[in-house]
Amino acid sequence: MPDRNLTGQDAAKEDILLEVKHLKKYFPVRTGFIRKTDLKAVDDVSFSIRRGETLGIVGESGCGKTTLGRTVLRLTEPTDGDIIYEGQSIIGKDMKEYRRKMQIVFQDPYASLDPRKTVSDIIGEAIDITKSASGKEERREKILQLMQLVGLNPEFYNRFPHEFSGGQRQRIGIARALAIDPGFIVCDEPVSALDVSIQAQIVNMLEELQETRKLTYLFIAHDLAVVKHISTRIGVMYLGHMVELTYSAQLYRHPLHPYTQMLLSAIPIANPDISAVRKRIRLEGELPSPLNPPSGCPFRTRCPRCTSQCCEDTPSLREVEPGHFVACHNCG
Amino acid sequence: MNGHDTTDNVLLEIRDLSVSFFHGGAEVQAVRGINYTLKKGEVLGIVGESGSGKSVSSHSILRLIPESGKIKSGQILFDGKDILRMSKKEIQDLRGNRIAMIFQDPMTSLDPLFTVEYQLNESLKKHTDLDAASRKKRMLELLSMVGINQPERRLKQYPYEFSGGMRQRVMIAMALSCDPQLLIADEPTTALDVTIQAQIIDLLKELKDRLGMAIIFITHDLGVVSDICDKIIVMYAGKIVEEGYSRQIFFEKAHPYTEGLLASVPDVESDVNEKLRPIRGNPPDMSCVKEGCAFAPRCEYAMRICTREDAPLFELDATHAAACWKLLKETAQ
Repeated sequence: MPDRNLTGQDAAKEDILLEVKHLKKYFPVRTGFIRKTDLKAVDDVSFSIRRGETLGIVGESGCGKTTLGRTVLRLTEPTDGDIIYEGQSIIGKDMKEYRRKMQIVFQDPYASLDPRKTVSDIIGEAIDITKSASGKEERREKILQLMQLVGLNPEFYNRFPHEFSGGQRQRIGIARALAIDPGFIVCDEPVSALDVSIQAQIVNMLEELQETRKLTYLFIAHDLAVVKHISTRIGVMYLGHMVELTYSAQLYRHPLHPYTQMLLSAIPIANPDISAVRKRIRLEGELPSPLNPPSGCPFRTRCPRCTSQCCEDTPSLREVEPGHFVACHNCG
Repeated sequence: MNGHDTTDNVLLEIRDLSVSFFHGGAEVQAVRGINYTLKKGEVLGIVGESGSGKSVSSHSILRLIPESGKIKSGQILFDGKDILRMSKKEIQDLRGNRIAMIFQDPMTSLDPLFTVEYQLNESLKKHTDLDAASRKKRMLELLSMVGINQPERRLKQYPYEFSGGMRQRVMIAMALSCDPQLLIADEPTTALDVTIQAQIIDLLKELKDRLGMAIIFITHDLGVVSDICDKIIVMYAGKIVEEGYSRQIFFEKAHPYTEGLLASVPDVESDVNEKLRPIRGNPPDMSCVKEGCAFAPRCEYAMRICTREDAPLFELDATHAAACWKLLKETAQ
């Protein structure tokens, strides 16, 4: 597979849509009366996303995956680093232009829709802001088209969010994101709040939309099975760092980072025969406090392969085989 | 399994249980006539999606139903005695003593104003006649049993000083303090990360083997119950749609809903990325229950009879049953 230099030079050749370089997001936190410290939610993360692919981001709560998604869209300002969209840095730019190209679908379909607006208001707002409809009739036509696209009955045109189930609300959220015809969508845990049978409907729909509308996704989730299913490549985060990044199948077949290995072995499998014989690598201990992260490698406190080097140097992401990046001194 | 078990091994028997909620005159039928039995030391998984009645039916065992809810009919026999006919005092003695419960959200199940020691001590004081010194000893023993290091120090701490996984361990320790015969675990790992979830499930498995208690494990995730449960009940719209041994549910699934649930979850083991086969439509509104099988509008096998009459549980063999009309032919032969 032609997958070299994903972090760098041959960007144009590979049709890179979005590139993130050494992105940092620190939140200042008071830890005492006067003392302040930085919570490093995202710490030196670099990756790039090719046009039309889905990059999955997995990790446990507190690993910085949601902050990463928001920072990429500059919904929170990055502390440091660069975000390059279609060859142009978006740092310091007026985001109005980019908001038309980059959208987000949120996790909680209950909190992310204005309860006082009808479905047509919610979807129509995006059309109004971008002035993409020339008259009332065209606006209405567009909204109905979008509703149909995400599988919502046109009869619901004037209904309010509370009249819908979680899955239908998520469809409204997706229609809103699609209203301005973006090229790139950050999906922040779009199915975690939904029931299993509804999850599959939404995942399938996202896949179909990607194909028909040539969308590129940054898909953030903690459900490893769903991420594997939808993603082209997957990045694994731990304590604000990207610890492994590779193709979806490769990550599951041949994980290199000890944290990835543990994470994968903890996925519950709906097959008693497999789960009975499967060896589970036990992850000892708890996530260290992000306010006081370990020196060197962030995972060293729980890592079975920890050496003295790990306490001193923070490993950076390096390519150990074509397209497979890992941040570990002792593997690959 | 179907309420006919008469051996004295039976710990819990639920007969024709129906629970409804009343909101401004409207009746929401949360549980609509379920039957099952649980033997001593057995682990039963109850699987279903939100609104399936899995939690309500299990909370009824301890009569922990909110005010707006009412247990309309049925019997809940625990060790041969009907819980629904017990006095307040009797039920108080049962709760936390012979039947214990752990909840989904370990963040809100502990009182933030009191130390873990205080809260554990409360439950021991209430249910045992141990003196202060033996209670302390027992508390330390419980914390180490659930895998909490430095129990001496941890006892003095407040809930906020514990992480989610650790709080769930404290809840389990509290639940086990009186050696219950039955532990009801209501989505105990749903709020936790996968690695912590795996730790808690391992812990429950180990404790079950060591203490020999029966467990009812309520979850929406079939993957979670696959390696801990002996038997599984699948619920949909307040009814049991399939029940059987764990292997029968996974490998000989007979109800279209069970089939749909399993097909909705991506298979991490497979290398080919097959398209998911979701169940179409949405779960039914339980405030206006229609005639016929509740799953019929979403079912790809639905026949004419399905919209008119609800299917009874057809026994496929002694331990496996499913409520679907397409099984009528199979079981008749």
